[in-house]
Amino acid sequence: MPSRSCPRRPRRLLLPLAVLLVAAGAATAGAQLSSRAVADAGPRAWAITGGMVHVGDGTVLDQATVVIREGLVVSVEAGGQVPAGTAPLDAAGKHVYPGFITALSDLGLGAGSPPGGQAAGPGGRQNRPPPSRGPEDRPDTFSWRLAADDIRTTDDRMAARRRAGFTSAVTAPRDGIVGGRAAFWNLAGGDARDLVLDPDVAVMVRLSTRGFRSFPGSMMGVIAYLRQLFMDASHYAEVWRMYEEDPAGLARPRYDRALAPLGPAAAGEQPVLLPATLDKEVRRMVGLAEEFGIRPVLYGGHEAAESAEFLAERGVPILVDLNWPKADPDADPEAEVPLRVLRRRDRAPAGPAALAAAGVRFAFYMGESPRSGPGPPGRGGGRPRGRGGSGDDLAAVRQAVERGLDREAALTALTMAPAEIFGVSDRVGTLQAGRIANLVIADQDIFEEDATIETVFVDGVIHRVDANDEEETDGEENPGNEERGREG
Amino acid sequence: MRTTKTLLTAALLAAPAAAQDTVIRGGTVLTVTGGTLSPGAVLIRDGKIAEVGASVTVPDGAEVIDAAGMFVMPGIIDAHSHIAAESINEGSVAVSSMTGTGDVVDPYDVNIYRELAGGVTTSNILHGSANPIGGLNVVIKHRWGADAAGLVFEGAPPGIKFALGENPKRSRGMPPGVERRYPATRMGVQDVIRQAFIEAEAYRQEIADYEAATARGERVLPPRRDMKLEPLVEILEGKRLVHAHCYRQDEILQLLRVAEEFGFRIATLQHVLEGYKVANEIAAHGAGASTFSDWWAYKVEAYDAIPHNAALMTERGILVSINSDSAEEARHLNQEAAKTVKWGGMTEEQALRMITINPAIQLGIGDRIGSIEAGKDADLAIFDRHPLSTYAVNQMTFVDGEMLFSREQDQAMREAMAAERAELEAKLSEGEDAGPGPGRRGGPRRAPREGVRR
Repeated sequence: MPSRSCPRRPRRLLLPLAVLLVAAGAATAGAQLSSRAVADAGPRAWAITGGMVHVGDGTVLDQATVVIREGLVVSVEAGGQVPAGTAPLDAAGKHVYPGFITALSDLGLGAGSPPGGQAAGPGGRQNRPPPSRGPEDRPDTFSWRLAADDIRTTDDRMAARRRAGFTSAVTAPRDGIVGGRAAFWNLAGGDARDLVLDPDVAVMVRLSTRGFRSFPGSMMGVIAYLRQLFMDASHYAEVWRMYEEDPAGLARPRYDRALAPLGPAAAGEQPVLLPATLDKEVRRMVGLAEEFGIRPVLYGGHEAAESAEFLAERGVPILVDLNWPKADPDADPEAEVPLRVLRRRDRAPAGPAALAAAGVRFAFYMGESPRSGPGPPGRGGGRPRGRGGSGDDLAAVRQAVERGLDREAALTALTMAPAEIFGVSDRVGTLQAGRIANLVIADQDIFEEDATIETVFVDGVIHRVDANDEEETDGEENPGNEERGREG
Repeated sequence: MRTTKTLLTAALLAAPAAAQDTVIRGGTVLTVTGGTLSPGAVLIRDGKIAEVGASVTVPDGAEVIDAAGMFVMPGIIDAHSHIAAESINEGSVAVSSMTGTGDVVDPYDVNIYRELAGGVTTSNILHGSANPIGGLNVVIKHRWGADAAGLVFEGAPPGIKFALGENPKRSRGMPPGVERRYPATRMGVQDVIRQAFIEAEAYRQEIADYEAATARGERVLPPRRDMKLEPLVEILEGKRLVHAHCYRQDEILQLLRVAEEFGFRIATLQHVLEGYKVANEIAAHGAGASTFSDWWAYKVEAYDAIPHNAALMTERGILVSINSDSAEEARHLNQEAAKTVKWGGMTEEQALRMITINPAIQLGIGDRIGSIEAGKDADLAIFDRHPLSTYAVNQMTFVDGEMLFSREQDQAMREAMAAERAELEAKLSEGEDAGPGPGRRGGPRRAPREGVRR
C-alpha cells in the first residue's frame, strides 16, 4: 500500500544529514528539524515537555518536563527546563505515563504454538516422554529452565505490544506443570540479553496433565505432585545445607536439577505463579500455598469480585486476565449456559474494581484461552476456546474502568503493581529520577475510549507509533541501537 | 468460612437468621436411636439440637415450623459419593495414596443442592476405583453456598479408598495400544496392596531410625517425607479408615487377610455385593459394610448380588449402610433403605439406620450426626410422609440448623433465577455485540495472539 511505504523514503534520506548536524553541535538546528531526525544521531537524551505526566504513584504533574538520558529518567518536574544536549519532544496537551507492563506472557518465545498442542514441534507424539509413574519421575517439571534464556526479539508480536503501550513483560516458560522461571524484561529489539531486568522473578506453575496413564493424570494428581515436589525441594535444600556445612560422615545427597532451583520458592522467598480463574480456584490455590509454605501470585481472576475480600485478608496478589470471558462460539446452541457462567461473563470486568476497593494488589495480563464454560484449568491443557479475544489490552482495561475501576488504580495495575509483585519496582513502574526510561505518550487520557498511543520509549529509545498505518517506526531513528532481528 | 454465598443461598437464608432459635413441632420425630415421637418436637440452637421430646421449650422470638402431618428425620448420610469433586481417579498409578479428593472439592457442583433436596446432608467423597490403593477421601457437609473449606466436615477421621476386582485390574475400558498396567488379576491386586504396606513398614522404620539416631545426638541427614507412604503408615497405626471397593467373596477374604497380616482393620467394605456369603468373616474382622439396595448383574462380578444382602449382613452382626455411588440415586436414599424392609424384613428403624447412624458410625462421626439427639448437629430432613414410603417427598433440609433447602423457597428461587437469566442474557448479547474489537476505529490489523497457556 502506497500510504504505508511513502513516508519511509524521505526519512532514510534525512538520516545522514541529521547525523552531521548534531555532530557539529547544532542542537538548536536539530529543533528545527523533526524531533525524529534529531534523535537518530545524538546521545539518547530527550526532554519531553509540556505534557500531563502521570508519575504512577498517584502523582500527576501538569505541564511537566521529563528528561531522560542514556536509558534512564534523569528528572521529572512540573515546569522544568530543557537541558542542553537533549532533544526536545513537545508533549503539550498529551499524557505521559510510565511504560505499561504485561504481567504474564509468552512474549519472546515465538508467535505461539499450534492450537491444542502441548506436544508441539516436529515429531509430535513420537517426541512425547514415556508415561511418568510417580512424583519421583518429576513429570513435566522444568524448574531449571529460565525463560530469559529462550527469549528472542524476533517475536513478531512485540511491536504490537509496544503499540499498545507495553514496554515490559513478564515472560514465563511455556508448557509443563513447573514450566521454569519467569523473566522480567523490556520489549525492545536487539539482543535479548540487553533487555532482561531480572531473569528469575517467579516459578511458573500450571495444572496440566498428559492424560490418564501418565502421572499425574488428574487435577488431584497434579496437586498431590506439587505438594510432594515442594516438600522434596525443602528437603533437598536442607540436606545439601547440612552436607556442605560438614560432609564428614554424611551420606552424599543426590543431585537433582528439578529440585535445586526450587529452594527459594519452597522457602517462600520467590513467588510461585498459580492458576486461579474462578473463585473456587483462588481459594484452593491460596489454601495450598499456605499449606506448602510458598508465596503465591495467582493468575486468572475472572471471579475476582467474589475473591476480593478473601485475597485482601490473605495478602495475596493476583494477575487479572484481560481476556474477559465470552460466549463460546462453538457451544451447543441447545445447551443451557449455567447461570454461574452468565454471571461470570457479566461480572468479570467488574472484578478489578472490587479488588481495588478491597486493597488487593493486582496487575493485568492478556491470557490466551478464555473459558466460557465451567471446568478446572488444566483439563484440556489450555486448548484455546473461543476466539482468543481482541488482543486489545487497553480496551479491556477500559471495560474495567467503565465497571467502576478508578483510573489511577487501573494505571497502577498496568505499571507499579506488576513491578512490585515481581520485585523490580526500584527500576520500573513509575516515572521517577533514576528509574529506567520506559514511558508512553498518548494523545489523551488512555482510559478515554479513542485515546491513541503515539510514542513509546523503551530503555530511553524512542518507538514512534504512526497513527495512519499503525506501523511502528522504531529502531531506524536510533542508528546506535542496532536491531539484529527487527520485528514487524 | 462461608464467605461466598451464591444468590441462591442468600435468598434461602434470608428467611431464618442463622443465629435464631428454631422449633420444629407438630409432626412425628424419627430419632432413629431414641424411638419415634408422635407428636414430637425439636429445638435448634446455635446449629445444634438443643432439645428433643414430645414437646420442647419455645424461646422468645424462635422461628416455629409447623410440621403437622410431617416426619422429621436425621439428615441422610451417603457413605459412598463422588459429587463435588473435580477429579475422581488418578488412574496412572496402582497406588495413588498421595492424592485426595479433599484437594479438589468443588463447591459449585449443583449436586450438593440437589442432594439437599433429597434430605442428604453429609457425603463421603471417595476417590474412584481405578487403583488397588486409591486416594484419600473427604467427608463433606452439604453446606450449599460455602466455599470448599467450608464444606469439609471438620474433625471427621481421615480415610482412604481401596479397590479390588475388575476395576483395578483393568478388565475393560482401555483403548487399543495402551499398555496394560500391573495388576491384571485379583492375585496382582492383593500383591500390590501387600507390597505397598511392606514399603510403608520400611518407611516407618526409616523414620524411627532417624528419630532414634538424632535422639542419640548423631548427625544424620533427615529422610525424605513420602506422601504416598505416609497415609499407609497412618493405616498401620490405626489412624486412617480404609474404605474398600469390592464385590466377590474371594477378593473380600483376600483383603481381610492382608489387613490382618499387617495388623489393621478395614473400616468399610464398599458395595460388597457378595458380603452375604462371607458375613461371618466380615463380622469377625470387624469391618462395616456399605452396599447398594438392589443393583445387580451390571457386570460379571455383580452377578451373584441379591437384594437381601443388607439384611443378611445385618443379621450376622455387621454394621450396614446403604449408599448411592451416584448423584442421582443419592436423592432418594430413603427409598433405597426402604427396600431392606421389603427384601429381608428389616424393621423401619433398622432401615432408617442404614442411611443415618450406621454410615455416621462407619465414617467415625456417629457422635456428631446420624440421629436426633440433644447435643448433635442440627442436620435434619422433613418429609411429608414417612420417609420409607415411596410417596414421601422431602420438604425441608437443615444443615447445622440452617434451612438450606425448602421446596417452597425452591419454587420462588426458580422464578428469581429465570428472571436473572433473562436479564443477563439480554445484557450480555447486547454488550458482546457492541464490545471493542476489530472493525472499530478504522479496523487496524488484529494483533497476533499473545498469551499464557495453562
